[in-house]
Amino acid sequence: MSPSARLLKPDDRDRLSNLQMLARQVVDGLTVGMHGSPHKGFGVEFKEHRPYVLGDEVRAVDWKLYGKTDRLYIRQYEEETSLGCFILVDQSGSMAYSGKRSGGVSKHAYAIRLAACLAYLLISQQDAVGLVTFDTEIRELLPPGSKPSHLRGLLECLAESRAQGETRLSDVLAQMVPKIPRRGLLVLISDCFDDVDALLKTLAFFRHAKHEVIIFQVWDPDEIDWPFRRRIRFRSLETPGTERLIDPTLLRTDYLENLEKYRAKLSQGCGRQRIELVPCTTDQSHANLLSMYLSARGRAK
Amino acid sequence: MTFLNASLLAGCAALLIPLIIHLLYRSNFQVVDWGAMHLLNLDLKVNSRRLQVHSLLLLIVRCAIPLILALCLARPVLTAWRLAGDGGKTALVLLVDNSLSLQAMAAGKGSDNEVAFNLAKRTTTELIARLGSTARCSILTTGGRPTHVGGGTTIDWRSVAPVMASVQVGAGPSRIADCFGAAIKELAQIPEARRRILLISDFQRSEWRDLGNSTLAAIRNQLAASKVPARISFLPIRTKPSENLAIEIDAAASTFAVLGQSMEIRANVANSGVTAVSNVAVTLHADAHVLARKTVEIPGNSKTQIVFTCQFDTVGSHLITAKLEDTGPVRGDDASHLAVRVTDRIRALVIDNQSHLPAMRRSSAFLSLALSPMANSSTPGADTIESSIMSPDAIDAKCLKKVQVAFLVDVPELRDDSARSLADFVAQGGALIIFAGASLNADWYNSHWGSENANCLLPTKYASISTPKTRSQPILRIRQEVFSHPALSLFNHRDNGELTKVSFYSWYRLEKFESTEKRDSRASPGSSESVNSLAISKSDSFKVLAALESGDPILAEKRFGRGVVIQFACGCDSLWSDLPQRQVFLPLMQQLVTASANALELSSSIETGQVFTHILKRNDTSILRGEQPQIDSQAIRATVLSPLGQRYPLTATTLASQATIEFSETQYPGAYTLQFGDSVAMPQSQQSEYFVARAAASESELGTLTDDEVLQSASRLGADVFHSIDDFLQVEQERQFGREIWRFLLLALVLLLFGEIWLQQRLSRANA
Repeated sequence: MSPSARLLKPDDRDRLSNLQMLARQVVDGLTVGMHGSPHKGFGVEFKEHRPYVLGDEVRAVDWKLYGKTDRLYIRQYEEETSLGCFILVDQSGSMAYSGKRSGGVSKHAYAIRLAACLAYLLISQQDAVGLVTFDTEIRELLPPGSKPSHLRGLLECLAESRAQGETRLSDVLAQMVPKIPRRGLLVLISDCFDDVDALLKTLAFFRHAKHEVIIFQVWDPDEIDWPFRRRIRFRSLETPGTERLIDPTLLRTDYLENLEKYRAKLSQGCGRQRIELVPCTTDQSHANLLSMYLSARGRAK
Repeated sequence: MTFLNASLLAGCAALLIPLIIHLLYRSNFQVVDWGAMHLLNLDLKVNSRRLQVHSLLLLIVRCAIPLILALCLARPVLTAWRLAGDGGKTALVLLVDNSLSLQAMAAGKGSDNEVAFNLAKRTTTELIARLGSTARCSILTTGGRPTHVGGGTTIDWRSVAPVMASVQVGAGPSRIADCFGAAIKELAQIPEARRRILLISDFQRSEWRDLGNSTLAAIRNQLAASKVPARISFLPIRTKPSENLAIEIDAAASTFAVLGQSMEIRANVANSGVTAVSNVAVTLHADAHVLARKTVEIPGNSKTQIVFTCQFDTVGSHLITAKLEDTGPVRGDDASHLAVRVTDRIRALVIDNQSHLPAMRRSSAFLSLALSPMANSSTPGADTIESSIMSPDAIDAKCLKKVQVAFLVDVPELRDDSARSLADFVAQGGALIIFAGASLNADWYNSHWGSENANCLLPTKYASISTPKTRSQPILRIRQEVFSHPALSLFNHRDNGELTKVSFYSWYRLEKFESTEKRDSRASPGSSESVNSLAISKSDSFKVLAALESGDPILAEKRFGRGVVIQFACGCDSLWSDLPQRQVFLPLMQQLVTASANALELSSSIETGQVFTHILKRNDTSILRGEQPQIDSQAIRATVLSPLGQRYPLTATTLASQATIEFSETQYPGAYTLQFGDSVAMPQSQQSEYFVARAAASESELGTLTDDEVLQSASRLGADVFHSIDDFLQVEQERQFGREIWRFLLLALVLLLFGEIWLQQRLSRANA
């Protein structure tokens, strides 16, 4: 089975076929596309009139308005541009966790499916999509492309990624800053199990560069509600050899408290920097999640 | 510690269940590859310790629950509480009070409208039934005298209910010391080592009031002296305070009467309540015929006396009953009885040494006249006393058998056989009255009938003839005092004659015999040797009935055998005193004879519980008329009818060569009838003989000891006090086996269950 068939099921394609990924803010695009561009010029949609100044093209003068007002105005149109999007997929060891309620889907598997759907959606609307997989460092980096063949390569790259190693999310993102010169969309799919302050600090760079940042934070349901009862030996997925033998019932309160603090801190940090934080759990359908998110996003626009 | 259900101890193994679960749970843990380890960076050490403590506590509690449940079911008994013995049976003597006072209503829970004795019986029955075969029980009723219930020494616990049902209340007062003595004696016959005495009583104040420390100490000593000391316990039966009327014929009333003579019956009616009772009807019955009826009013807490007069027209034993129409709780004291023996005349024999003189010139002339005034006058009428005169030489046993009283009037001395016959006469129940005289040989009397001789008839020794020492007052009179002797008590009232006006010109000084003196001086070293001390002597051997103003005794009395000897210090003629010429002489002689004859009668009135003895008099029975000198006492059979209607067959026994019938079942107050069968041929009037068992008047006082007083008495006896048989049985069980502690374990189990839930809840709350 080809990677595209494995990652993008026919159902997913049908569900996403009617959706469009619309950049909430204006992005610079290499090609003319669906997304509004700050550059006024040749477009279809009227934007505004401005008084004629010397040097303006005569063809831009709105002669009808001149006839009505006896003054020269230049008619300006919005220029549409294509979206430049980078999808960053976390493949650290912690993403390998898979609980009973997720139906055997690990967080990593969920993340790459989500990334595949997103890539398919964007490419299908002529946007350029790039892919970065990383753990402690960048493992794969595919520059943005909008051709269908690019999608295939992208999916293959996703299919080949394996969850392993520790998470150094902030370092990886710091490395990515110079590699994305044009402002665009940055989609981070990760569990964000890193130092929240360092992460937010790094993300601030992207925001400073006018990038729109969306974080799909992937959770396993077990990580949310801590369903464990019996005595359990917890073995770290990222650091081999690290084990904790604990009574979950005794630690449940403390764990949930820690979790709440962590999520609150991340959520507040993202809110401050106008970063969209989309928590998702692996027991949800990724296509449903995406469609709901995009619907909500469309309504918000 | 022992266990009653030791096999259930195997259940203790159930404590392994939570332990095994815990260990399995501990070793069988799940391994999870976890990503969010940074969220687990908690204070694991604290959590681990808390986990360990909680887990350990929970484990201990869960292990303890099945363990304690198993222990509880096994019924552990702490033998540390066991005081003595090891298993085996308990010897228990139950002293059940069935005296009159138990007829009052019981107080306390579950005893409404129940007579106290029924409660006592119920308690006894239930106690023995609950003890079952673990105890060897013996029941003694304490009323009157300690009496076995059920016949045998011990009673079968299965048959206790019917046996106790037959026991009746209304017996005489309990003699506490006797009861404990009987119980200790009873226990000595039971081999069990663990011995108990349980007294079930209302603890009537009158029964315990006179129980001094010395008596209690004696009981304790008696207990301590027994091989295996018994433990005494009290179980008081509480009675409701109530008011009660009681009647009692004066105990001093004569039980001897002469045909046709009037006698006074004094009945005391006592009100032991606080409120006055009016219109109390008292009736006097003689042999079931109503003689008189009187109505009296009695203030609260007081007594009143009613005097009845009656006389009898037939010879024999008669029963006088004073009845009270009372509604008080105690029925047994609503009637009082008196058995009176009526005789046609008393036969007296006057012995003097002047048979050669005409009757009226003898020294005994005044005496003969005084004894039989009617016979010596032309006045028609019968004398009470039939007297005859005899010379000392003619005295023999045969002539003495026919008389009850013999007078020795100025007889110098007697032949040895005559003296012996007189001694035998007195010893067998005759009365001898000795007058002194000028010809009396004092030495002979002192030596033959003195203390050195076996036949020590004389109350005192004839010392010397004494006269008044002052010329200005040539006479002495009898000292003024209240006479207690029945013969002299008549003269306590002046209307009956003034004995103290009799003038004495000379008299014998009466002194104590030396041996008596020595004995008395040993008893009281400081006592005076003078004859005066005789007047205050408390020796039982003799009694001074009257003394002169100088202190010299003029009349002394002594019991000898079953008879009595009365000794005058003077003669009975006018040479010694003017007594024979005084009006008092005749009644004095009559009273002396009657009182002596009365004193010789075996009392027909006894205290409840005492043994009644009836001697078949020689002149009563054909056997003893002389035809058959040897009595076959086994052939004499009689029946006693008790106040409760029970008949007791009796056989006479030979006691001091006399046919005697003894009856001991006199626990219940009332009139008993002794009936002779055909084996004894006697006049119809003597076929029935009444005798009366009297309960002390204090038995009608229903006051009982308070709880504190019962405790005090118990502590003086070293006894325990219980207020229910449950308490008694529990303590007994603890003493015998130790204390069962399953109740405490059950409580601990419940607490542990709550503790387990609480710990579990606390852990859950921590986890929530």
